[in-house]
This record gives sequence, C-alpha cells and structure tokens, in this order.
Amino acid sequence: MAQATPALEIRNLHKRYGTQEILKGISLTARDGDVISILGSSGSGKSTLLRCINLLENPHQGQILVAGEELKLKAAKNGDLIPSDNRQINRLRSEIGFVFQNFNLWPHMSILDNIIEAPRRVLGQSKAEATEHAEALLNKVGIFDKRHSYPAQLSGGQQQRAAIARTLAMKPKVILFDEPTSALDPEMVQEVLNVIRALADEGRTMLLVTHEMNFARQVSSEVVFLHQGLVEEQGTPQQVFENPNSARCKQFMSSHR
Amino acid sequence: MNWEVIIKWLPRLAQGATLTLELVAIAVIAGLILAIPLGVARASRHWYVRALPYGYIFFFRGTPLLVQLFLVYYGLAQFEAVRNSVLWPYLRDPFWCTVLTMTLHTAAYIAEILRGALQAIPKGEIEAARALGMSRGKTLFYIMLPRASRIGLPAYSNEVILMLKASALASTVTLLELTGMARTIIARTYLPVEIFFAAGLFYLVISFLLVQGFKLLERWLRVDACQGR
Repeated sequence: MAQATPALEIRNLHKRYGTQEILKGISLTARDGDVISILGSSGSGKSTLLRCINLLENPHQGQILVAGEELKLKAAKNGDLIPSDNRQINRLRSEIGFVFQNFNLWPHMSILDNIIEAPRRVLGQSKAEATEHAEALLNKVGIFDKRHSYPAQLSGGQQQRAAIARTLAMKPKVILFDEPTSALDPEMVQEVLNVIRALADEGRTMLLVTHEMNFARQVSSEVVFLHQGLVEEQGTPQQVFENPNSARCKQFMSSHR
Repeated sequence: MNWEVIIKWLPRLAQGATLTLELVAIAVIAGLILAIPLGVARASRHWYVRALPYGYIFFFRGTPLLVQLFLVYYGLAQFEAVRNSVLWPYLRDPFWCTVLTMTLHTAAYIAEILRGALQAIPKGEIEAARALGMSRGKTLFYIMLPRASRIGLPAYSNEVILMLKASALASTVTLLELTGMARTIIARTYLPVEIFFAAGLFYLVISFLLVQGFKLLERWLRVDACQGR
C-alpha cells in the first residue's frame, strides 16, 4: 500500500553523554497533522530527543528524515554525529520550528524585530513582507499590541507566545515544543496552551514534550511515554492514559491524576 | 594659585587637548575595528584559530604601552626595509607612531572585552537563532555581535577613558598633546602646579563628556533592559 511520506521520521536514535546513555534507540514517525506528545519523568530523555531532532544536540547513532529527506550526518572525532552538509541542516532547521522552555527571545530586539529577523535573514523576505506576516501572527497569538515592546517588558506567557510567533514566522512543516509551559505560572500556562491548541486544530504537525497531562490527552493524536531512554509505551491518548501495558507507565500516569 | 597664568595659557592647552582627542578617537575607533576579528577568533572553538589572537593579546597586554611606543618610535627606524618602504613618511612621524601603537594596544584589550561579551551571551539565545535556520555566520553577524556589543559596551567605555589617560605617554615622543603641551608651558613659566592643574581639568572635562556620551549610547542601545531577566 502506498503511504504518504511522513512529515518527520526518526529511526533508532541513540545519544550519550560520556558513558551515560540518554537515548537508547528511539524511533518515531509523525505524519502530517499528527500531534505527538512525549511524556516521561525527568531524565527520561524527552528534551534530549527533541533537541537531537534539529541537532541542537548531536546524537551518536540514528537517522532523521524530514518529509522524506534524510539529514546528512557524519561522525565527529568524539563519536557524535554532526551535520555533513551545513546548507542542508540550516534549511531543514528553518523547516522545523523549535519552541524553548525559556523562550530565548533576543532581549535587545523588540518583539516585532525578534519575529522578522529570521524570515529576513534566512528566507530573504523584505522587511515589509516579513512585518506584515509577523503582525498577522502576533494578532493570532494575541499580543499585537506588544509588538514594539521588548521581551523584558512582557510576562512569561506573552514572551512564550511571542516565541511561538517567531517560530511560526518561518512557516515550519513541523514544530517541536520543549516543555513550553514549564517556566510559567499556572495562569500563564493556560494562555500558552490555548495558542498551542489552536495550532493543533489547524492541523499542524507537532511534537510536544510536556508535563501538562490533561492537555496532552486532549490535543494529542498519539502519546509516547519515554522511560530510561526507550519508548516504554506508545499509542492513542486513551490507550496510554487509561490502559497502559507497562507497569512504569501505569505508575507514572497514576501519580498524575 | 596664579589664575592669570592659567587663563593666559588656556588656548594653548586647548590646542593640546585637540591633539589628545584626535589620538584617542582614532585609536579607539581603529582599535575597535581591529578588535572585532581578533575577539571573534579569540572566542573560537578551535585552538588554532584562538592561538594567533591569544599571542597578540598576550604581547600587548603583557608589556607597558610606553615600551611599545618606544619600540615603534625608536625601533622601527633601525630597519633598512622600513626606512625604504612607502610607509616611512608615516612611520617617522611621531603622531602616526603613537596612533599605531595606541591602536594596536587598545585593540588587544577590546578584543578581550569582546571575547568575554560573546561568551556571556546566554546559550539559548544562540540556539534560538540556529534553530530558526541561521547559519553560523548569520548568527554571529545578526544576533551575537549586536548582543555582545551591548554586554561589552560598559567595559569598552572604560577602555576609552583609560586610553584618554594613556595618551599622555605621547608626550614622551615629542607630541604636544595635552600633557606634552603642559610640560612645554611649564618649561617656560616654571609654574608646574598651575599648568598641571589646568591640564588635569581638561582631562576631567573630556572624561566627563565621554561618560555622558556613553551613558546616552547605553540608553539608546537599551543596555540595561538586556541584562538578566
């Protein structure tokens, strides 16, 4: 049967720090429109997995395919796999959005400048074009009135929404969220989750590392539970949350009621 | 205190101050331009890229400016090749010798300031740029250097003021900048206290203006807003 090319495919990903193995062979496939939540306790390798996908961390084994295109990797002296084609990795990174736990907005630029910088420098958009798109995105995430403010003048939730707009400005095919609400207080968590939910409803392909269990359950098409660097449980939200096979997953879920 | 003498010689001292400003302005601007590649190379991950600026900085920070000035002013002329070169009209001139030495000297310090500033940029901000698909070069040029310039600006303003005072050494190679002019006037008037007092005032006024200028620049670049979260 002919299947559509997955938006993102990870095959047998391994990652170690020194002798410590963090990821012990993870495979994951995201089809267009999938929202995959990655759950697990601290240290299970969730964030490392996400960061390996766009090579913010270098894995030491495995393959990464974006829309069927394999990321060209070569082994460095220390055993890490590093990109062998700088043009390709920069292009693929521009197609994979990444939202950080700590927002990582550039504090010396206004919100608008934060958002238009990459489209101008990477996609070669004109300032007017990038600004127009950025303003539409700021409207969408609900902080249009803050466009001339600086990151330090915004609340955490507003900063994270600005960071999401910055990522969206690149028109990514896949968006990776690395604990996007972990640095926020409960009220701000909701405003950010609402933005992410709206993106899920649009049919965007997303990978979401989170501790917001209820949210993961509501928006995900698939849930992956990581434990000690391996996929311990994988399936629909209903299956993973209500009827997990593994004991470890059962225990984890029960502590998050 | 003989105020009349001070007032009488004020125009000559002002003349000296102009030369001081010229020396410092050229040195700190040319030094900054030279320091950018040096500082960037100094912050490189590769030891062989770091090595050259390291040696340069080691030499220029490790020896007194006065010694460097003498080496350039008296030393270069020893070489036949230098005397025959097209640059000789400049290298025999104490003004250009001083400008050259001060530039090379301050570039070493500014390069270290820049290295520190580049390394002080929160790693996540660089990752954000890379994750958006910016190449190393674009990240450096559009994100890191503008960010580092804000982190390093207070230290740079300090360096400019240090150079203002270090420029007094130019008087040892016959230049009549502020200190040189003061000494010349004293040789005629035998009134060191009055004249050095007046020269000191000039230095104070210049550094006050520099401090105010940098304060405006810091406000304009929003240096405060960038520190911490």
